[in-house]
Amino acid sequence: MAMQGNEAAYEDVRWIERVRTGDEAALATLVARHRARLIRVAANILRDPMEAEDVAQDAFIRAFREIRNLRDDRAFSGYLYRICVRLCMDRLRSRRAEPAEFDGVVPHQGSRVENRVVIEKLLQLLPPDLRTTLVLREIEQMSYEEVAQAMNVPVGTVRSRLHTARERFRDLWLQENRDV
Amino acid sequence: MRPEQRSEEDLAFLNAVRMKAPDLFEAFEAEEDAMAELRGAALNPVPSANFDANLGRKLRVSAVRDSFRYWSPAIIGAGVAAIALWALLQSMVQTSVPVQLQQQEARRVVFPSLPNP
Repeated sequence: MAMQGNEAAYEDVRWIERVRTGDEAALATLVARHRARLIRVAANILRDPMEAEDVAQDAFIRAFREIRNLRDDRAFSGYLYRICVRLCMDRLRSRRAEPAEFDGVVPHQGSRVENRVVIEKLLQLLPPDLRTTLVLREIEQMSYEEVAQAMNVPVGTVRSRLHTARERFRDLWLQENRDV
Repeated sequence: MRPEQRSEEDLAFLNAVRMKAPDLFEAFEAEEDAMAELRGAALNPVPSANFDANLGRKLRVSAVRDSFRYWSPAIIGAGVAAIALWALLQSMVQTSVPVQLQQQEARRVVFPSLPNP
């Protein structure tokens, strides 16, 4: 994925070759290289740091399981993030059946913590694909191409989803402020 | 586009929009505010201390599970084949007993007992 520089991708290739020979230290190095960002991406999509760690671990396991079949080792990072995003979206979809737990939210008064709670509530009101697109673009600051690669959809779909997501989020935000 | 990334030209263009289409500009500003709040609510969690240990454990469990998944069809196949072979042998043994012998009644054979010394 272009979110990593070419140099970093080539560095990954070196470690991947060693992982294929069963080198556990190389595996630990690869984990250390991607761990923090993977957890952050998952945490921002799911809004739950504990669940994000769980998802990041599952993503590593799936990526390492298929590492022998990887056609281009430089694409490892993109492959890893794609797995992570897919796992997050699966969790969001399974979560939607559960009722939201924001009934007792303190009215929005502008403090940082309260804003965070309100943002979480509003994000939960967006469908998983819109929510993920918005988070990857606005919070993770990925380019359209990177978002498309991570979500495995065409760039045009990303543009249209982002447009809808921004619009809906803005309306929800205005409505929330009006209610207060 | 984020406010900090706007050039002089962008600002001039936005100003013109504000003058000519205030509703549109208001919607644009509201969206920018909402996006700024969203970015402000970004989470940046630090990986927990036992992340690597948990991952290592999950990797080992996954390796065992994969290996079991790989070998289980062969093990099940071997089991089925063994049961089939056993059933075949049983039926062969039963059919090898002559029919006449099968139809005969069982008789109690009493052997003469030896006198006690």
